[in-house]
Amino acid sequence: MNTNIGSLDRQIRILSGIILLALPLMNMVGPWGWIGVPLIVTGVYKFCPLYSFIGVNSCSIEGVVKNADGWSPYIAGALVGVLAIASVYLTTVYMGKSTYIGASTTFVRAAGFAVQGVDPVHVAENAYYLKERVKLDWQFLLVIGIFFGALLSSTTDKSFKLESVPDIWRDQFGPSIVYRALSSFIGGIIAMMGARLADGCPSGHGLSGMMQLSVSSFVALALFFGFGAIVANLMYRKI
Amino acid sequence: MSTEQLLGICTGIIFGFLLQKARVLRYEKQIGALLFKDMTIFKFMLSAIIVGMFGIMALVDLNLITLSHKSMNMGGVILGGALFGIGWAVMGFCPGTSIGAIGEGRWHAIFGVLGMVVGAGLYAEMYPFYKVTVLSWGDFGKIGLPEALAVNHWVIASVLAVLFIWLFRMFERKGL
Repeated sequence: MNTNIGSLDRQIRILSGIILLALPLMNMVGPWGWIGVPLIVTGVYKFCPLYSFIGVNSCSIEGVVKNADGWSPYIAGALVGVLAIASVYLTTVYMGKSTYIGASTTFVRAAGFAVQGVDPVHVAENAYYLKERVKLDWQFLLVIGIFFGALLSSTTDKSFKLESVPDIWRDQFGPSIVYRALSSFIGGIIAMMGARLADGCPSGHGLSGMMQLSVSSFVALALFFGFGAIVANLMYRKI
Repeated sequence: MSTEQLLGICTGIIFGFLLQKARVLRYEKQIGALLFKDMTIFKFMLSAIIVGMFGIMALVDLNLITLSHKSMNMGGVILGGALFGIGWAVMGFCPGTSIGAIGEGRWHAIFGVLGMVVGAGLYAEMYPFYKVTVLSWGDFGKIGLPEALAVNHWVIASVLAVLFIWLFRMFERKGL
């Protein structure tokens, strides 16, 4: 049998397996801790059937850091899953209300702040700003945090790159920044109108809603990708 | 800074860090996913969903958190979902990734961010109109798949996990 588990992965599995197994034996959690057994077994034998089924491995740096120069999307994604769980729990404890990761409502608040600068009375009377409340809330800070997190990650692994026009855009539509800016701006208006009507974006519906098995999120995500695919294929068809 | 804000910015920094490490903030990756030529975003999202859904269900069963479904408003979700998809492809970023893209130097995303702020402002002005038209076409409320199908949530999550893992296998086999 081929091995498909690298040394770091193996150490993490065996260590977390032992901790998980110790918890039910000390009566600290219910039967949950028994999921430590497969972790230890796969760790000891350096073989994970799931990896084998999917066709990935963690033997080499390439197996984990396969995605050009970044991390495996499976690992980064799974860590976002852990972050989502932790953040729902922490918001429940510290804010008194289970709050899920999202991004698009923040744009409503940003628009509210901008309009407030010109006409504060208008914002105070608008039904939608009243509904969403224009303030620097948890999600607003989360969206600001995304900027700093991406900046931190990209500058420390040298993947930060100033880009005015993406390569594939240049190949299809030419090097003009004006067309890219216009398409980005108009696309932004349409997308945000849609996100507000649907009450979520790929973060709120795609990640948080799917994790909660919300009916609306399955429908929304299918439409996001469905209509996105139609338009992307029209834009990037071979002429 | 309040506890709420501190919690928000810390969550955001980790989220942005992981989005950047997975390389999903890039225009090429977003368009690649919509053209079904680069499945990085699918691998990333579906992995997050598999881990997240089991954890959230466990915490709900232990009464430590509550669910917060978004309403299944027929007009809103269907028309909004379609509009979002169109705008997403034209812009090449979604709301969360546009902010992250600026963070990793892809500054053309700033035009998308400006467009989205304008779009949000326009929506706020049109909200009374939407409320009596699109948003009044029927609302099934805040429902989850387990109630809608009358199937245990662990069963649904397990089926989804198997389906997603099977998709991963397909992506890897085709080298996507």
